[in-house]
Amino acid sequence: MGLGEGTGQSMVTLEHLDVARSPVVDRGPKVRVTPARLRLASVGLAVLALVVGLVTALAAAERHAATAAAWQQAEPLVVQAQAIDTYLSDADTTAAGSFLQGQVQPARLRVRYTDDMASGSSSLAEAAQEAGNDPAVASSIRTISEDLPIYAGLVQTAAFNERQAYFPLAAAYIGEANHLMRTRILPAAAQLYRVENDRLSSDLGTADGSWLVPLAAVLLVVLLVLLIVAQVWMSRRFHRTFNAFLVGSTVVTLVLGIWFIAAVGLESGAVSTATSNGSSPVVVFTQARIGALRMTADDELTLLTRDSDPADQPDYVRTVDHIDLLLTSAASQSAPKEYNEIAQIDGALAAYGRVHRHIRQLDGSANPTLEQEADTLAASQLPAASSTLDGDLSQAIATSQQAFDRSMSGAVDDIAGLIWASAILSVLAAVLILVGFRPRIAEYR
Amino acid sequence: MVAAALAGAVLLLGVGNSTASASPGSADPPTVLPAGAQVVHPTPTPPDATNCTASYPPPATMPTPGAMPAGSWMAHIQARGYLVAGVTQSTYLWAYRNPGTAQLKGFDIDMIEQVNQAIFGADAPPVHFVLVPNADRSQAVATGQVDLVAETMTINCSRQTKSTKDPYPVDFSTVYYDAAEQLLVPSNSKINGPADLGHSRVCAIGGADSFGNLVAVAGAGHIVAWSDNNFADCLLMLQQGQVDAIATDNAILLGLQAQDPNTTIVGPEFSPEPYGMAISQTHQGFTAFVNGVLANERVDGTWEQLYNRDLLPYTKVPATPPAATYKTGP
Repeated sequence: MGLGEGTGQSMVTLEHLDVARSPVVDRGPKVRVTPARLRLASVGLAVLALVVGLVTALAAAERHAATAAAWQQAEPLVVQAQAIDTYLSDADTTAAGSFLQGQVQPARLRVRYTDDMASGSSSLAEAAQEAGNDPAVASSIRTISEDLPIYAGLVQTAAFNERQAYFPLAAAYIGEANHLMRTRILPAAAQLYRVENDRLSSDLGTADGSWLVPLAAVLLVVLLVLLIVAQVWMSRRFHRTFNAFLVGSTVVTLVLGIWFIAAVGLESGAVSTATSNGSSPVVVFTQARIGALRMTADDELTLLTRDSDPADQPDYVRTVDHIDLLLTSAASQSAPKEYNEIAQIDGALAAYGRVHRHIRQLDGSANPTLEQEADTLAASQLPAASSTLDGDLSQAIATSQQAFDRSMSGAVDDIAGLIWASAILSVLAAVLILVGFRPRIAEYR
Repeated sequence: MVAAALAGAVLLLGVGNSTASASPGSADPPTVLPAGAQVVHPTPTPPDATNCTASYPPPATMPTPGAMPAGSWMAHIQARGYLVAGVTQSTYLWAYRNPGTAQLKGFDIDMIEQVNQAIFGADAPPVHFVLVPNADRSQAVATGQVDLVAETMTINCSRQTKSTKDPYPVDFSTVYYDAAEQLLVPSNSKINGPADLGHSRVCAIGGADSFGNLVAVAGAGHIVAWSDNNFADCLLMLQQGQVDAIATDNAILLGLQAQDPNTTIVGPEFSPEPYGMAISQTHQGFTAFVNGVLANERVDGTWEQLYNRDLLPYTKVPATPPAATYKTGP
């Protein structure tokens, strides 16, 4: 300041010199920039970048966990519940059918019945173990566990009486067994299946609807905006249009944003595909398969207990209508490559219908020669038609299951990448921000 | 191994159905019943007079098989080409079917076959059997669905006259078997007759008069009556320990006992049940014809032959054919 008691003129000169040396360009309103404020901005933006990374990673992790849970826990439980329902339906059909063959059940049917009961029981045990103490499924599992041995005992007694040629009594036992299966066991299995399926749907829904995702999106946008604002302000303030590091940080944030949108979008799409090409068709085809087994059992029981239970043929009609509805809805929903499978199933169903109608015609004639033909036809062609249909349906189920697995695995991978990306890119962005601000702060020293 | 365990399970369940389980983990054991089993509340029916067994006398000379008189219902059957008969397929020894062969066998079937051969001769075409539930026997005949019904059907007065209880009156042939109602119980049961029933659970089938006759007998007023679709279901419930006795004609009980040697037919015959074939009241000539077939059977030993083949191994006592009574006048 003062070079002594000079005149006003010399003071002014010195002041002018001071002004000329100052780096502040007096273009806009005068803002006092202190290093403290620059440091605050720098640290604030870096912290925001880290927060963005954290939230994005959390959102991704949550979706990952939900998707993985749906894929690896909920879906296998659905498959298991379907297995229980299918094995037990087949056991019932086989038991009824084996009595049509006469006094001694053919070995292949006996083996198939035993296998079905064993598989159904072991699926039930697994379901009990994995479902744990879940109250929603506990009562269903308990009902099936209690009733299955009774059912097996009734079928066994029927077989014993049949061997003794006590045909009316054997038919009474198999009728009671079928009644038990249809009124208690299969409804419990269907209930179990419904509960697990609802759980799967809700898990897949959770994978979609978390609040972390919009929050992450909002924070990303905020960070991007603040970074751009900071750079614009800095380029006005400091005579440098581009700060390379801050630009780099902006680019990294942009990359993170794009990765985020892409990953979430892809994952969402994959989950949706998994549902529409995978789990939904599996549900439809499984119900159709169980219906087909019931349909065959109705036909067999009609022949076996001709006068005792007039409910079997009306049940057949209802079941066939239900299957038609299911297949129509499957055709309207499914991916083009499944249309072939549906056409094949339709063909097998039509072929079964032809055998059924032929048998009904012979059986309803009251002519004993024709009735005997009906029984022979039932023993030879009905199982073949039924197993072709069953095979086609289980093929469709397997294909849909594979589609589900493929899509879900892709979904999980998509979102897993995002977790790492969020962490790495957000740290990188924070570092670039800090590095970008450093020179400006240093200029104050 | 597995079979033995499961058979053991069913035995245990058969015995243990009515006893409560003491272990804490088990819920109420499920009650497994045949489809259609239900408790009913029968009202006593007055005992039917047995003077309604009189039927139309047979023609003086029976027509030659294959040459039925013009205008008769038999000619109509002959022109049609086959006889249509209403039967069941679940009454062992009377009408039952081996699922593998689809052939019906039994005493009722044999009676029908006799009529068939009388119309068509020795090379008679197979009878067309229509399965008629017990409750619909009269209706099937009266509406013309079948030519006749032979289904362990008791001849009584009420079935021959139209009423609210019997809207489809029918005619009957002469008696072809004398049955009577009794009880079937497990061999170790303390029940010896209707008087011992007390509050027992008794089974019969819907459409039969068994309960009405039973509750009309003194001492049987407090039974729990279970109604099923067929008698084999009743035997099943007896084996599962869900009923204590089955009440119906001893002819049917014979078939049930044949399927389970651990049961006994007990008690006084508390209601006579003469069996006849039901025929439409518009075909009196046909009824007379069937009576002629039965008259021939009684005389030429056919009846005894069929009895010895179908029923003697189980009744273990020989029998003679029941006498016929005929209406006098129009």
